[in-house]
Amino acid sequence: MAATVTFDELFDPDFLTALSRWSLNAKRVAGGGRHGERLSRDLGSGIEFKDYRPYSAGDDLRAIDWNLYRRLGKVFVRLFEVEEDLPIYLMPDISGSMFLTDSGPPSVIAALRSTLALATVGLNHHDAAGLFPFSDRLQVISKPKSGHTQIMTFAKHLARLAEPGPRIETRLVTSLERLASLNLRRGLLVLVSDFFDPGGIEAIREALRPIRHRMLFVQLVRRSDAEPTLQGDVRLTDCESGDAADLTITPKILARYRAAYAKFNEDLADIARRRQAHLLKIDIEGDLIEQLSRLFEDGGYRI
Amino acid sequence: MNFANLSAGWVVAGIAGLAALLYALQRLRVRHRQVTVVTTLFWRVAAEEAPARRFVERFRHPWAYALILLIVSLLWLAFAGPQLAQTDGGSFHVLVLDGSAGMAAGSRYQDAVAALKNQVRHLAADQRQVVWSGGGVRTLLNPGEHELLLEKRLAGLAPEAAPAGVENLLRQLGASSRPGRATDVVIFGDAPVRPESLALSPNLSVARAPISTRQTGRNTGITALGVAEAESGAWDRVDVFVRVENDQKGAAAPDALRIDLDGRDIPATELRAVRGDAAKGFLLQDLPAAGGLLTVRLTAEDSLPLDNVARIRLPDKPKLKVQLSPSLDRVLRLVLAADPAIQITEAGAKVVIRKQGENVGASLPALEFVMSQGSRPAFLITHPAKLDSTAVFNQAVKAIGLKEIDAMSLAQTARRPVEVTVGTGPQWRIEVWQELLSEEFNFTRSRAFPLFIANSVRWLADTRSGYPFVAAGRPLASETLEMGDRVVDGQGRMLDPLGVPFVPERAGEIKMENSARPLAVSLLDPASTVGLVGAASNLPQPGSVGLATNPVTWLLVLALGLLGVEWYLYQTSRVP
Repeated sequence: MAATVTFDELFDPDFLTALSRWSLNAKRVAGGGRHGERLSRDLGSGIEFKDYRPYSAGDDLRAIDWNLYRRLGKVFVRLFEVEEDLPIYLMPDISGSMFLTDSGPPSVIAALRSTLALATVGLNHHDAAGLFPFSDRLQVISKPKSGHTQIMTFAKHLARLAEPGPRIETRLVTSLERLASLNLRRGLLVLVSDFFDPGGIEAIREALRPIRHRMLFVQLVRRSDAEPTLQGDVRLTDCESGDAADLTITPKILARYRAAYAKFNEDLADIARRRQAHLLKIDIEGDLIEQLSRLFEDGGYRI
Repeated sequence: MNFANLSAGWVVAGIAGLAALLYALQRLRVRHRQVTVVTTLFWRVAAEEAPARRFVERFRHPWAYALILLIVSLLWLAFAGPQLAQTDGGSFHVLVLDGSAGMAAGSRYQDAVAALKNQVRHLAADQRQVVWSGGGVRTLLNPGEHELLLEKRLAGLAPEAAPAGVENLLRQLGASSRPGRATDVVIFGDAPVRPESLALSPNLSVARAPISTRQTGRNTGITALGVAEAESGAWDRVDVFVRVENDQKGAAAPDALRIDLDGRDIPATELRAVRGDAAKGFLLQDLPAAGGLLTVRLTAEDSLPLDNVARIRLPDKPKLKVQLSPSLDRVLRLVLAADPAIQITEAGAKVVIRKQGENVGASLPALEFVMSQGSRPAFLITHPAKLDSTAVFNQAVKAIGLKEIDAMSLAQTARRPVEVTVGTGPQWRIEVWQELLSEEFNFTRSRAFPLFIANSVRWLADTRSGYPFVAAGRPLASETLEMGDRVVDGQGRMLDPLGVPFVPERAGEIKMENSARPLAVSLLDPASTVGLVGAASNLPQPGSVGLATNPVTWLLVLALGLLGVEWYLYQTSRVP
């Protein structure tokens, strides 16, 4: 494993320009955020009238509708729409498997570029993007912040994540549990990973239960995962754990492998479906913009 | 099925050994190829993990084992060199390697040997015999003998300075072949075979193996070297005839020859073209007939060196010293003096001519004139008792020329029969009626009289004129001697005890019984010299075993095909 992507490669102007036509469309966002372009579930001091409600102690006296009081003899206050930002929590996988180069380019390139792309789309529309990379644990690199200037900061953070380091295992379940404990404002959680947690797909399903965010699953795949080209007597070594398995590759074993891999994908799709989330498969050897464009088919991704 | 390189036992043992070796290799623990993967999650689900490190494992891939065993068995069989029995009805094959002089040109001999070995490999051992036909005939490989012996027996062989003798061999084979059994003769060489020779052996099927007819270069050779009486009439001189031919139909220049007699060079200027035409040959005149060895060489090198030298032993013809009784001087001196071969002398005489009872010449062979008393025959020939009288009689009648005498006239004059009788005695002698010398018989004035005297003296002196022409492959013949000398080997044993004409097999020397000087034998074969390339194309080619019918080829092709199958199975992960 070696260094795979540099800052310049990540912060490619052409790449970022291609993202400018895309946007995230959310009906309403949770309240408590900063001023943004999304309608909040909160009602407050906006300019567009929304509703009335009876006056209660502590309400702003400027919101009392005195005309209505004259007609009905009861005190009501006017409520207005509030526009806030959408918090986007980006969780790229930076475990050892992301850096494996034995059978093609490392997945970390596609992972980091996908993360940057989605963060940029949000930041372009005054949303807040936070970076929470994970491997054997969740790191909080940057809590959600908005503003165009954050794009540069985000790219620098991601470039540092691409530097080679010790082989680290994937602990997605642990990381999700940690994320849930942060009590973050509800927003969009983008999970960028191959989802090869040693606990299996069912452990991931359980770990996602306490997560209240809307979710976007970005699955990084490579052709050799689905159609391995191994043959003969081989010793397979897990790039993260170092565990070895001696196998004689036969058509029967290959068929079983394909079946196991297909079941894993079906389970992951089922998780996404049950959470009403989108599952985007990114072929790490394919064109990233083209693959991301499937997510923004009408120019915007409806959350 | 036979195997060229291994016995059947070795073939079976080899396959068994290979099977055991492959079985052991199958059971040995394989060395796994190291592959790092993103995750082993799905592989663990797909298969049980292989057992921990062990020296041997269970026999896991029987089909792979069977496939590789089949491939190595095919290769082993190909190495063993299987030979299919010929499907031509079991005919017997006689493979004749032509070792005559013409095969020495270029690489034809090597090509013929290579073709022979190839053919031997493809014939069953009990259905073929290999025969060498060079200066003589020799069996190189008997039926049933292993072909490896052929290599050893060919080691010291090379084309000999001898004319092609394949036709003679075919006649022998035709005479000795068993009726009802087909014999296929394949000739490896370009010895000419005339259709007449084939007709003499109808039970033989004769073919000629194809041999490369690459250009062998020009060739010039000596095709004739003979001796004749000197044209000048000198008794103790001879003329020598030399003919040089080449395959370009051109005439040789005299200076292309180097000639020596007993080591003494004879200038080329002494060569004279026959009738002014060098193509007809050259004459060397009035060489001394003293038993010298004349050697003729071609100075230029060419493609066939065997015909570039020829030798001949010149005859030894000293003058015959005859002692003449004074009582016969008046009648015979003029006759004897007219014979250039005879010298009348008393010292060192070899033959004496006298009348009965005269004490002249003592025990020398004698021509003796006797009185015709009683039943004494007109001609009485006396020879040593160890010789056969009949043979002596037949030879003497012809040699002395008795048939030329008008015996009828003599008998009428004598009024009694004129007879020739042979008897034994201590010395050679011819007794003749003395009365025949009288005027009454008119014998002395007949044409036969000087001939009778000259022949009788020569016969009594045992004059041998030598051999005018001694060539390999041709019967040894003398001009004048019917009894001739016997050819003997180095130990003095006769090589022609039956007295049939001796045929020298190859150029070299042959030793004569009564001579210390061996005769020189030369090649002198125009067919070898001129007919170098494509000497005979009238014979068909044998049914050769080519690549398509060679079982080794098919075994290798099959092994190659199975290797392809294994490669495909390996690529599709059906075999490890």
